[in-house]
Amino acid sequence: MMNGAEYLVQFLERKNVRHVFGYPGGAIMPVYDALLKSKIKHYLCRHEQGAVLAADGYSRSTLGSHLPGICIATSGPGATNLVTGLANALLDSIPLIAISGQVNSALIGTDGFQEIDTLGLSLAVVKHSFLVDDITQLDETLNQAFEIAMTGRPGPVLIDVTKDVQQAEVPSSLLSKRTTHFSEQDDRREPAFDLNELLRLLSRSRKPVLYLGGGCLSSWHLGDVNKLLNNVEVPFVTTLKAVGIESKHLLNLGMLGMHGTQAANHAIQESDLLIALGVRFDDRATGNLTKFAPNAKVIHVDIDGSEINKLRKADLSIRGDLKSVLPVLNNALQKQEYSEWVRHCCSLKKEFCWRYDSPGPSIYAPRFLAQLSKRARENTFIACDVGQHQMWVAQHCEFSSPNHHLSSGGLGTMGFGLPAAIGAQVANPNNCVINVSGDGSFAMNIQELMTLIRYQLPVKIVLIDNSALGMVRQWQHLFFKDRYSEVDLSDNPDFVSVAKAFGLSAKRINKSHHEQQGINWLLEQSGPCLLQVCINNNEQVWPLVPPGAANHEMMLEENQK
Amino acid sequence: MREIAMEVTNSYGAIERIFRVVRHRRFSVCHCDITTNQQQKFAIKLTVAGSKSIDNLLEQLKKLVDVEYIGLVEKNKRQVVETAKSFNSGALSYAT
Repeated sequence: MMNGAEYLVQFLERKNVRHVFGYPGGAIMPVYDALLKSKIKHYLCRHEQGAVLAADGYSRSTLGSHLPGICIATSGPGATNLVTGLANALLDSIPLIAISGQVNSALIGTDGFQEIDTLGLSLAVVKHSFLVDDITQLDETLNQAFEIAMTGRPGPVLIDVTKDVQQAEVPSSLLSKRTTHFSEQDDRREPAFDLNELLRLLSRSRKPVLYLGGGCLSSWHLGDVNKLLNNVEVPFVTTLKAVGIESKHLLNLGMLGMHGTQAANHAIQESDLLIALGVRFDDRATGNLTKFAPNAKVIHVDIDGSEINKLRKADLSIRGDLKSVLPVLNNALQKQEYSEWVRHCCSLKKEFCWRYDSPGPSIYAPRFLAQLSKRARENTFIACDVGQHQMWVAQHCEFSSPNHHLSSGGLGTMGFGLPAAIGAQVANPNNCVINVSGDGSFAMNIQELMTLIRYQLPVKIVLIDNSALGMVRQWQHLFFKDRYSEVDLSDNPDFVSVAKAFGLSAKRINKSHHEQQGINWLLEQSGPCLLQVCINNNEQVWPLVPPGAANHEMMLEENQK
Repeated sequence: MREIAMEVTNSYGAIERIFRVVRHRRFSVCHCDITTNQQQKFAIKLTVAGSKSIDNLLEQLKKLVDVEYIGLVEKNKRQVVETAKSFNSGALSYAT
């Protein structure tokens, strides 16, 4: 006899799931009992939000493996604690499966203990969700969940399984019929588009820019994107999610948008053709949409038809998987010649390159992060939280691949970094994983330090500490006349002592001449460790496109003007 | 106001998902007619109003896993002019 919980766990095994993250509780106990007999390794996080964000980090760091991150929680508060993580995965199109326990079917709707309408509360934060209250539906639901999470535009799927289904005997008919592979009925059919129009737009353009977004990762054909970039001579810019695509490429102008590079923003504004691949014209990328790339025609390729013409009207829209379009673009662009434009973009890049000559005795975070990134091992993952440090990481760190840059782009979830780093380290045990955090974000999931210690995951935490909610403080300084409201964190605990109390090795630096010494120490540690990097709370992230402005109307640091 | 015709799998949350998307994408529901056909699927006729693009709303609704068919009903002709996904039951045919 096999019960529903055992069936569920065996299903995951058949899908080659090796690691799951979760937190047990009453309504999910049969599944945890089944896990005792399983080869799947369960990572106990200390909060369900930690578990779902760890699964998210796991998934991001393994894009291309055709495996979603998996997390497990109980009913009621266990399920409600998943919500932020599910939304985080939805907005960044991360494939993820969340399995929540639910009270017995008979108790649903009775306001029983730890009973909440999990399906109802999930609706706005998942690609799809299921309630399984019939054992005969379990297999089909599990298969569908994997297929939905992984195909088309990926996303999170929640499966809420009642306790009686977990405990029910699986009918023998179901055992004989069970399936093991999702059907890959993906939306990867050849997209229909007007090839002549594509060629016409490319041939008429004198100033094209490739505008690359997260869809380039989600298409699982990153190699083809890299091939395109290396075969053609077209300047390119990336969104936050696509940071890390061909980091060292001469024609990579960097990230565009609110905190993008000057070169990227000027090139976009001057361009006459945007070749937008897997992007959604997010407001943080476009600035004032009506002033965004005002003279550019747009070729927009996306697997999600709802993104096309949503914010910027495309002159040519191609709905489908990038894989089908990239070879066409490759062939067509190789025949074009944009040398004058390329030279101009290279000169922009040279003119507006980053400067690290900040005066004064304080640590300059951009310089510190750039140095850290240069000295860290090849294929290092950096998971960051949200705020100033997140933008400095995107601006100043180099990555082997975009899936080595784990950043909460769409939702901007403070507290993402540490659990995401845990997920990435579990998935990539031989890689160096660094969590760059801020003192605000770090406190949001600080309990996951216990997870690091329990499993001795050698995540290196860099805590950029300005004793403030830095990004909010920056905006209050710039746009609210220095009226600082609830951004002071000068009563933070001694984070070095806190980290040591959890069992990490820890060290603090606070002077610019300590920067190299701090990096040396961090990279030498073999176990989980924390380096507190104290910086001046007046440090700002530059450039900054102010609200309502066009991307070329950037506010700059004095020495960059 | 525009009328949308849909055929939707009868699964937990299917109707809620549709109304949630309509609200979130800044439309309001003016009229709704839901029936169940012989295949136990919902045939839904939804009249919505809003200042945003109706095409965008249709694209968002298309993405819902439960939505098997969706079309915009042309005002005068009573004809479904836009289709998506599969349309296999004929439950939503309109006289032209």
